[in-house]
Amino acid sequence: MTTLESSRVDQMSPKERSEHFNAHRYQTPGHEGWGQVATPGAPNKYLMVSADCHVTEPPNLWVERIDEKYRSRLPRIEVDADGVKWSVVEGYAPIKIRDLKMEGEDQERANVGKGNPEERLKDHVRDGIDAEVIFPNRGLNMWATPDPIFSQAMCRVYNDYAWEVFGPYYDRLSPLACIATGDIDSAIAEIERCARLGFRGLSVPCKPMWGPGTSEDANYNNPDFDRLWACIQDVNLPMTFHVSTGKDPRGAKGNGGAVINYVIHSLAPTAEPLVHLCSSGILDRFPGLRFASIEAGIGWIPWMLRAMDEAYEHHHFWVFPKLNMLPSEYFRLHGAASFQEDPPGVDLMEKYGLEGNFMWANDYPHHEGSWPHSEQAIERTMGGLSDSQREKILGANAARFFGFDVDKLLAYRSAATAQA
Amino acid sequence: MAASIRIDWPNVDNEQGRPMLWFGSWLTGSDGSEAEWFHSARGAAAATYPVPAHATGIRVRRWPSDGLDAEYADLLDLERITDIVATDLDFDTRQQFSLLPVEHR
Repeated sequence: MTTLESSRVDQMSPKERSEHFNAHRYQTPGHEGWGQVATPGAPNKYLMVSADCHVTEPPNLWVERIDEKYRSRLPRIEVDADGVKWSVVEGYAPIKIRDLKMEGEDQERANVGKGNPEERLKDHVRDGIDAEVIFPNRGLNMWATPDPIFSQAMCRVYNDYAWEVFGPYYDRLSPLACIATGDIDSAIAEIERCARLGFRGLSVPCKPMWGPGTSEDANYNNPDFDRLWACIQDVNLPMTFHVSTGKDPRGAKGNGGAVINYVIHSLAPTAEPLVHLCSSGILDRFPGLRFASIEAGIGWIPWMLRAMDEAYEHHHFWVFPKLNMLPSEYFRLHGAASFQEDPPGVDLMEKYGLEGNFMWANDYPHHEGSWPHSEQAIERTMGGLSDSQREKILGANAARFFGFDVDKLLAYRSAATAQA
Repeated sequence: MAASIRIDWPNVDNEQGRPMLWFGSWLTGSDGSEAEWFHSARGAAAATYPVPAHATGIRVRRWPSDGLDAEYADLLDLERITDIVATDLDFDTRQQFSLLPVEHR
């Protein structure tokens, strides 16, 4: 953006600004030459499974349901001596409340994504989505505390809610069970409970203990967590690491803060649990584990794989334990990663043999996602892929990883078409 | 301490144009800890609530925006309170049991 453009944006009304910044979402080179398409309602549409969506939970969910001893610690708005309002969450630095007026489709995205399954299904039809994996929205705060017992109590509330609302729709709308791993005993109990309910996967934090972290903190490479891995392997559920679930993603403030925080303090830390799993021998001891990073993009995955192997080979004299395979090979066999619009990652996928590991998502209803213009986003970024590659990353990989019944999903689509 | 307190939960709209979500709970002890809750609903309501023996105050929460967490106001003078209108409470001043870190207070 030029200085002139920047000045022009400042003079725009909120509605004009919304239209200006959302205009790119409509741009597409089209899908000429594609055997299948991402067009909603098209008879030759790909099976599309969004590996990362969110539900905006009822505001009073936790205050109503959590054990009363924890209620006063739940997130809330506080007022300082000057009358300024702050969002206070136990593990975050206070965030000043800003009066954000959204307009146009920004406002539309802010209004959808609630816990109404029928409304969600309509929104997904509009965007061409056959099934979704659901993560919390305000519930991403559940891990933001140094107290893993409190965190587990919040997770249990969310899991109960998620199953009550989406259990009857679980073949298409699938929240994952949220687990606080900092307390291993309660984590195992909650995993076993949720597996019995029927959840198809787990959402675990990027670090078991919330915070910036030191080498003294408990972390996943510590063999103390073997009991947890044994449990997860035993229930045979994939685990996911969503962005912003290990430390405060607002590590920077001031100029550029929103960009710095998104790239450095939210997305980048998601690499940590993947490297722990691939380099510390966990996957030799528990070969049934499956894991995925969520919403962190994929362009960095080839770099991470190369960096892990480089360290393993070049620093072999420091490396322990010695592994059965290179660290990168564990990722290819056990790992996955979700992304929204990540052209560098898509471009690198074939070269680095990762077309079986990447899972597309529209991140509904978040602004960094592509709803309701996923068709255009896919056409912008995936024109260089083959039909087979698009088929895998748009749905087949996620269906396999999370255990969706593809025949059932296609039957739903046929039924909807017949009804229309 | 009053044996019961009547609370009027008026019907006002939040930022999204939906009826305001109200929540009422009892405070206990002297550190802002909460005990059981007695009201959680959107929109207009009015009821009389028996005051539990262990109660040291009332915490009223409201959600002026569905996208944000709750604001709250604490009422600690149970000796004198008999009637409350939730919209008359002051949600715009610092509360005694604030969780704001000291440097932000």
